[in-house]
Amino acid sequence: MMSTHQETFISKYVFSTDHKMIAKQFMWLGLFFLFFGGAMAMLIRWQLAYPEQTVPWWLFGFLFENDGGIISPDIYNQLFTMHGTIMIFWAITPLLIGAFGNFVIPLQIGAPDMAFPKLNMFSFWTMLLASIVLLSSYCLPTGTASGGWTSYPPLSSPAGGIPGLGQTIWTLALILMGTATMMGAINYITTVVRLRAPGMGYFKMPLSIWGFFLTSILNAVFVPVIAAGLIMLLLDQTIGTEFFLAGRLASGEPGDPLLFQHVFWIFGHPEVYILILPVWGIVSDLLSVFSRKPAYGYRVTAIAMCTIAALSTLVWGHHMYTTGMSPLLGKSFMFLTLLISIPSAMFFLNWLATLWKGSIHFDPPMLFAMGVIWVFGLGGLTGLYNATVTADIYLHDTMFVVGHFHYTLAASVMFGSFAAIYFWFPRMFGKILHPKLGKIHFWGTFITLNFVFFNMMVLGYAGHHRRIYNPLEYDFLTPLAGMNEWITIFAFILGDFQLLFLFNIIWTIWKSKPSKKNPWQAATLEWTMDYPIPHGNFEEVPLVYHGPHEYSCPNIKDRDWLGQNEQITI
Amino acid sequence: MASIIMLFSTLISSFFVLKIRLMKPIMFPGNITLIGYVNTAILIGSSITFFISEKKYQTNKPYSFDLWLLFTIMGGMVFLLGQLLLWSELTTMGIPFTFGQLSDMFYVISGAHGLHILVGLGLLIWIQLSKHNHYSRIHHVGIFWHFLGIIWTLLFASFILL
Repeated sequence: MMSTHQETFISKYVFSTDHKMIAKQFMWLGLFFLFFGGAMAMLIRWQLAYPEQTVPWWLFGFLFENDGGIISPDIYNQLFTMHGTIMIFWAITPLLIGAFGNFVIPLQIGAPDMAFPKLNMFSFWTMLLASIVLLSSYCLPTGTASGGWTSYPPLSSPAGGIPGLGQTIWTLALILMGTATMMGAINYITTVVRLRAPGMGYFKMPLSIWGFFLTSILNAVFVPVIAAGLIMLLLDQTIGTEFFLAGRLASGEPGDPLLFQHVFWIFGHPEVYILILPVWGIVSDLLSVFSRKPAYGYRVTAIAMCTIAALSTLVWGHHMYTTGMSPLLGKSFMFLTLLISIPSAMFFLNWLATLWKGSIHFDPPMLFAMGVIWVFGLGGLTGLYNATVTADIYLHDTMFVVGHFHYTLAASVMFGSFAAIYFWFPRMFGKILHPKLGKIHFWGTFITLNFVFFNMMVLGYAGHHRRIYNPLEYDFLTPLAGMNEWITIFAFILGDFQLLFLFNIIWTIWKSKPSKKNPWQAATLEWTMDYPIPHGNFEEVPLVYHGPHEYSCPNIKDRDWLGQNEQITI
Repeated sequence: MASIIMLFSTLISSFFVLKIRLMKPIMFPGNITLIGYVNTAILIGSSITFFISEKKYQTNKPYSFDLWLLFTIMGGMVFLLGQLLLWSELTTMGIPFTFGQLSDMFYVISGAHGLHILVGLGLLIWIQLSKHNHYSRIHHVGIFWHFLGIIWTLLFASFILL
């Protein structure tokens, strides 16, 4: 399987078809946008805590000189729109699905590469094109998109919407990004279905692979939905069709902005599971590795994840309780949404049972994995309030929702990505990220993050609307100004700890010594070959005999684990 | 292996095309309906010719395989031209693009389908010209082509008949 062909610089680093190099390309892209979107979050926080005060130099104040050094309302709208768009579609998706999906899937299932290596390369370059298109909208005189990350039509369509081309370019970039995602999803599904090593049954796959697999299925099925909606939106914006034009319903023409909301959330709700499913898989695996115990209830966890993937397709209406939908429909959506808590609780208890009486190693990947248990638990529990129609009608569009989805999406997915980076860094670059810095990074992030997002939920409960430009303009919100300031201070500290993480990555790649072959003593296939992993991954096709979590085996001398390809009877 | 991708794009495009069809059907004037029926018949016919050509390939008759494949490609091209004729007829009757939501829906759906037909035609021409055909490649392109025919029949039925 070893490849012998010559590689030039361009074919190795730029137009590479090797899944490991494409994974690294996606990782740098994702990290770039993570910091880009993070910087915008800091500016949003500045405006909410110190409304209409001069932006200091360390928050890139010089960018706002045209507006007298303050964040104007238009810029504020653009900030939160692009923060949402970039974090969801350009930071998390490439980082988690693009980078680790690419890197881990072939290595863990024992495949030489992705099923379609050229399609894989093409997926990255389409994604890069989408990024350039998106960033180009900043150069427009009217600025970039500002209709919120959901881009609902009265705001995003030309009639009565936001002036300028920003929204059109946003739509175009998202269509391109969706194309890249679909290409990746097709590739992942085919790879998992066709290229598993002999002996690697579906229930011998590591749970990370289950996560990536289910994510790809949801992607392949639901990204086309949003693509269709966005194409119709694009036609509305450019050619002058009136699919989503508001106010025509009364005159008999069926143009209807609510239609876009339905299309958006039919995709949008699976999308949140698209982002979180790989994290669940990775966390399940890491908890097992670092507790030195087999993952408790492996099959139950896998089946629970499948159930959630299926249920996630039926619950989009819970984003639209306040659109005046029929109470019967609202109740049905509420019932289906609450049903999700059953499989969630199942794998959640499995996680806790995996930890129970394990010999836990508190390495940075484990800390982040355990962080996911906390933030996802809290985020999931607050989800129950939002899923209930009666509570949601009050809480809808308040900061409570912002706190909730930052716990589930931002915090969980960020922690999951960090855990993955810390865990697989020795496989990607042959070096371990500095553990002390990693621990400081974890505790700094964990503590400040809880201050930020928990207080947001309190604010929301007190009635703070989520899209307010200047909260001090409302009398009932003035007592909360101190709290806003508090959140902002902690958000800045949170941001600073991420700079430490960036420093850790750069410093490790430049200065650190090569690590051992299998520093975490993990049993899955990706740790069986020497670094650097050659093009083609495995020297010979591995044969798989065991499940992915054979830890604490009593019968093996001088270690406590059994690799998936080792033929020793237990 | 490279052809398995067709299977999955099949799934995707099915969802794509069906998803766009969220609107109610429209009433078409008579001659438009006639063009539509003829077009549909041509597309179904091209599916049948492809079926015959695949059989010829299996029984190892390269000459008639090529011939029937050529018929299939011609069928696809005539279908596309027919769709363009349909569009121009609609426009001359005073229902251009951006006239109203329902007719726009027809334009968008048939346009999206037409683009897929174009891709399918490209694949058919590819296997026509290629000298190293593998059976699985022909088989999967065939699945895609039949699939586009079925989708069009369903779309057409929901526009005209419902």
